[in-house]
Amino acid sequence: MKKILLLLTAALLLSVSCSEEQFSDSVFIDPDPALKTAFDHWLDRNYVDPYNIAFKYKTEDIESDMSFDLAPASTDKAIAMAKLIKHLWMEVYDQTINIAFTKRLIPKVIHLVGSPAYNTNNTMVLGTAEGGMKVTLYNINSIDPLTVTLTQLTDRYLKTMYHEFAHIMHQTYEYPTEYAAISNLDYVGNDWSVASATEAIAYELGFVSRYARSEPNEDFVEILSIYVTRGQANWDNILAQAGESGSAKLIQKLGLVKEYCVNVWGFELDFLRSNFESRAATLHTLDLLNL
Amino acid sequence: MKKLIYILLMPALLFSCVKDEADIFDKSASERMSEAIENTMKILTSSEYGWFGDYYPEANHSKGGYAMFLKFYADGTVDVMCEIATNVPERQTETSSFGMTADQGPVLSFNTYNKVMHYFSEPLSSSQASGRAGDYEFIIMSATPDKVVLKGKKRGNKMTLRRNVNNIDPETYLTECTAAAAAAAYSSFKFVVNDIERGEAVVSDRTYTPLTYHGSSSGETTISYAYTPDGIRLYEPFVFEGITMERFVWNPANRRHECVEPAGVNAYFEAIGLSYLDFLGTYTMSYSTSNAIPINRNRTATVTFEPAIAGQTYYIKGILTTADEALGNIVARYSGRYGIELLGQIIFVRAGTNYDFWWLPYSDPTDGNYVYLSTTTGMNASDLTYTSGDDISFTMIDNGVWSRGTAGFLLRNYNGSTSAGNVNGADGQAFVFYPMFTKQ
Repeated sequence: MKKILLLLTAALLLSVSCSEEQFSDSVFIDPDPALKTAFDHWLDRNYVDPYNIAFKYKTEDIESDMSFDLAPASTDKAIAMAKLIKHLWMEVYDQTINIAFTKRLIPKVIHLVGSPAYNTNNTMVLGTAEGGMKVTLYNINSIDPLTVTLTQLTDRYLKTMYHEFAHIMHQTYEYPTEYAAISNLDYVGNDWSVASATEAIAYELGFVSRYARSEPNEDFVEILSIYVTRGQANWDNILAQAGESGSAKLIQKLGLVKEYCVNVWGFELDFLRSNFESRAATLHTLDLLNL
Repeated sequence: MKKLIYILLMPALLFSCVKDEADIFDKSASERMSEAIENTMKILTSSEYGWFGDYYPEANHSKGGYAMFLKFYADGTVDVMCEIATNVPERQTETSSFGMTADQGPVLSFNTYNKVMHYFSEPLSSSQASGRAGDYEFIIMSATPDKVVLKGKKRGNKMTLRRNVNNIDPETYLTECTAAAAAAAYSSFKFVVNDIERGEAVVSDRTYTPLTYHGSSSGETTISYAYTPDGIRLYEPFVFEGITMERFVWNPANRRHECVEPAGVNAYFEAIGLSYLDFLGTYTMSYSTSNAIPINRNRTATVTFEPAIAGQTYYIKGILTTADEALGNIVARYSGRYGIELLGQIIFVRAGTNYDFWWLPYSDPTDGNYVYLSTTTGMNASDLTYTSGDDISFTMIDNGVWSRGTAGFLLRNYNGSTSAGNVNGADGQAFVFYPMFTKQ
């Protein structure tokens, strides 16, 4: 037995001796700090330090869908977007809950692309999000800092961003199972986009959008993001079109979303919305041309 | 006992990881990558007077190349200037940023929007989702103080940056490239090697498409090139029967691109046919106001071919009213294959309306009268006759793009399906059918 132990010891010693490889520099090359522009320093102060977000305005093809041909964002548009996103997204959560909440849940990479990503079916991709980690915003170069409107920003980016943020919320703490039961029989998966699945039908069935029909998680975050970013008039309009049974379901769903926000995260959804709206009202006080 | 044997074998197995093999490289892959990036950065930014290079968009460099000037700065910005008009006029400097990343080897990326560089790569629409199919990320193939060879990441086209050692003014250099293009703007060339005619090349954009051989060699090839201040440089060395050719200088007296690189090669492309400049001048345009057959060209107008883009396009003046000509012109194209091409086009957007004013292809009468809002449908020159540039005559015929056939053009305002009515053209007519041009 002793012999065996000795042998084992020898084996261990030998095995240690072969790990002589030295670790070399990382393959990830840090940009030389001397090359940082004033905008890069601004991003350090406004994105990296408070939120730990990498705001990638220099397009990296490797970060985007290789099947598209794209052009990078121009720096002046990127500056405008950096200010708008902070004002209308991160700071809305800061104001409603606190900055620690925002920092904890917010996707860690925002990647800008200057051109649209055109699909062959005459549509274009405006924003995508991957697994709560990264948000990619397209067609930034067409934003005019002098005339940009809230509708433009909401339709293109903000609604999607609130949608994605809501996904991260429910992936962190689940919402009650009774939510999925409300429209249990009406989820249709990928068929949500077929021509016959119209917006009007979605409303009547108690969905806030066509896409909400795909599955309960999408349903949940569509309610939240549309309620917050599209305003009360739009919500009322959807309820009116939804008819009696549809609107009853929508109201029930919204109620559960609101309860979830209070019970799990400790904030009122209406407070989030009013903060979004009051910040949106001051959109034009932002200096989008200078840092 | 069996157990013991197994254990005895263990050290033998472990020995296998003891390295007795020397590394091929004395540094790790990541260290070498960092060094390559650092080295390339140093070289790119070291050229005080920047770099010249030929940029080839399109897979297979099928449109030819364009001369560019690039100047890289240590603060991560880059100036880009191009010989042709892009999203800014020709030779205008645009500044943006660049960076180097470790990707497929060291990669140079023009990573914020540059109105010159990204003109070639930005998508244009759903149907033109690849835009002009250029690259803005380049793998560094080699980097020496005089020459950096780049290769587009998506399309694979090469771009060789040549150090501007002699402090040549970039604007002058690019102006001369444009002049070289205009001087040598012929539609076809004889290919002559060692004083024997060996083939004929047809020009399409900045390519010989195709170069067809006669004599002992047969078949055809395609050659892409870019203009230099004194001639053309090929995309890559062209080898014909063992003879390599890469750069040619324009000899205006003989109308030839003569091979100068490598030295000592006796080969040239000699222009045949009419040049871009030959077509400039005043013509009598005979035409019909109806697409009826037999053709009755009972009208004439005096029109002039004036330079639009040098070496490429003309304004045809005299068809529109003077008032309309102040707003826009009908553009014809000098074509390698046909001499002149005349296509459907938007002449201008009429002020105060969103009605585009069109030079609109109109069908031949065989199956009814139709118009077609198309900028590829139109007519090509045919029956081209001349003895010099002074007595050119040609007739426009259908270019075959539209299944109904193009008999002529209609001038009118157009917005979707709404007609704003005809407007007057030459001689009070809005129709120009079967036009025939004879130089005065």
